[in-house]
Amino acid sequence: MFQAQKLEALGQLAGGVAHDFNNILSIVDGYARMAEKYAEKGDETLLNYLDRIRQASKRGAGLTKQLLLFGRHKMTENMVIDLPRLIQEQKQLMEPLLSNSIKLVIDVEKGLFVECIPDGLAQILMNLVINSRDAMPDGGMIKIIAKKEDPETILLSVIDTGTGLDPKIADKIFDPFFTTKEQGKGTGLGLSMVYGLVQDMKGVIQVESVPGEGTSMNIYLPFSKKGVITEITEADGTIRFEGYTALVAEDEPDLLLIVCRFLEDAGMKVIAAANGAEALVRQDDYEGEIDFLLTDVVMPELNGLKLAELVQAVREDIKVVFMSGFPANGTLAQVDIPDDAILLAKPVAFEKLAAVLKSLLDEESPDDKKSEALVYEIKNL
Amino acid sequence: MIKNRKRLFTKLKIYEKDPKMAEPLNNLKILIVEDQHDARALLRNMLAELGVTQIFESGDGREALQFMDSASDFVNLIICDWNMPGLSGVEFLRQLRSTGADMPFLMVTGRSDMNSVVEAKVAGVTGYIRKPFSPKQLEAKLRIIIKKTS
Repeated sequence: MFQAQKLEALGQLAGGVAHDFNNILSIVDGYARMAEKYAEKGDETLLNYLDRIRQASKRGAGLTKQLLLFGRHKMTENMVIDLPRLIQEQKQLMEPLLSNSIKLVIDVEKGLFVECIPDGLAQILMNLVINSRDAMPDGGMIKIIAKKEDPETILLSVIDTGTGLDPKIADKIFDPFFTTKEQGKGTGLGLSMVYGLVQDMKGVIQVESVPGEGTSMNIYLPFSKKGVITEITEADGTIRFEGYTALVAEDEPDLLLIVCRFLEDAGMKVIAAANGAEALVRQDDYEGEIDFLLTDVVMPELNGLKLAELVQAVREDIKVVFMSGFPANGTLAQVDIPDDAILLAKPVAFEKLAAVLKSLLDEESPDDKKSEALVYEIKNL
Repeated sequence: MIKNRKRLFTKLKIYEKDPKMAEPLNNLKILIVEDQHDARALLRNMLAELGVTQIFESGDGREALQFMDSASDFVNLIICDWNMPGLSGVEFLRQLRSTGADMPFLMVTGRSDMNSVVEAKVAGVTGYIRKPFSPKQLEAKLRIIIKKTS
């Protein structure tokens, strides 16, 4: 109880600080951006320094985001999340944080659904993994386990082979600003934030630690029965996209209808837009996550490329597929399609579309996408 | 503060049109209301980058109201900071709307808690954008509110 009160008071303070801090950060970031413009093609060293400033301000922005989360200034609504999928996605973000001497092992069961703020769960994982890393200066192993503890409960554990916790401080670790890290290395906010987030998810966090052998952070979360069925390949080979959302922008009404109908039949939630500008507005009005953007390339007012660029600026994780009536390498050269873009030639063959969407979901690392341009040419429907 | 009052409004330099823009944003006549000088300068630069050529600035909500009273024809969109000493962004918006001015209003904020959003919506905000934002994110917001109000 006392813990909750303390956290609440600090949350309010943190929220206030975060706000002012964001102001400052946007100024730092903005000037660095501008300076980069002036320095373009000039001094490499200068550009490098400016880039570092921007990286640092980005880290700062990440921190304020944490502070805001900590202060329960909720940024998103609760959603049903496929935990194993989220862990796999986070793996890409976690790996760069770990040195070569640390092995990250992921052992997750399929189909574990929890109701939470997706961002929050990602924050929990990040914080726990960073703590584990810092407890293992000489290397070791971090294991992330997610499994069904009983029909009602999911257990998410982050286990390390690090130094373990001193029993004397075990009851303090969730206190805000409590840290064992050196000055400047840790804020002491990580675990208290984790604590708050777990409480928000109606979960329980528990620590097991043996000094010198390692620590296991166990989080028990309620299993969500609202679990979405993610994509399933049916017996006849058709792919289902239950639980996914797509934004479709196409100025040819019939084609829009056809594509939307197809996606809906595959179980997807579809947001249809008759042109680029409308699509931009629709995605702004939509609170939930959007997994795909399917867009025509040539549209009046706001073309598909610009649309993709702007939507990706506000929804970083959205996967973009362009649909175009032009042959893949002829006239289309007029339009400057990015190298990593996926382009489907019209008429869009649905099996192909489904396969492309599936391949996008299966993509382990976003870097794979950049390796080569994926161009699917469909001669006949 | 006093310095601000002396030079009420300066129409800033007319920026060159950027021919690379998709649908140009250069029809926009934007008033920036932001108390922090640096933040204002940044916003002005971002807007110029997006091809906006007509930009007015104010560092104070009351001044901005005065300006809108006499020169509302020169402005068709307002970008305003939430947190300002004196007249806050929401208060400025409320008073502006009470004069019948109905141009799109983009609120710049460092917070995104539900209460603030509701408060801004009730006061008649067209859209809001959270700091820090990139020029692309600003462009997306501008295009969204233009479309919404067109």
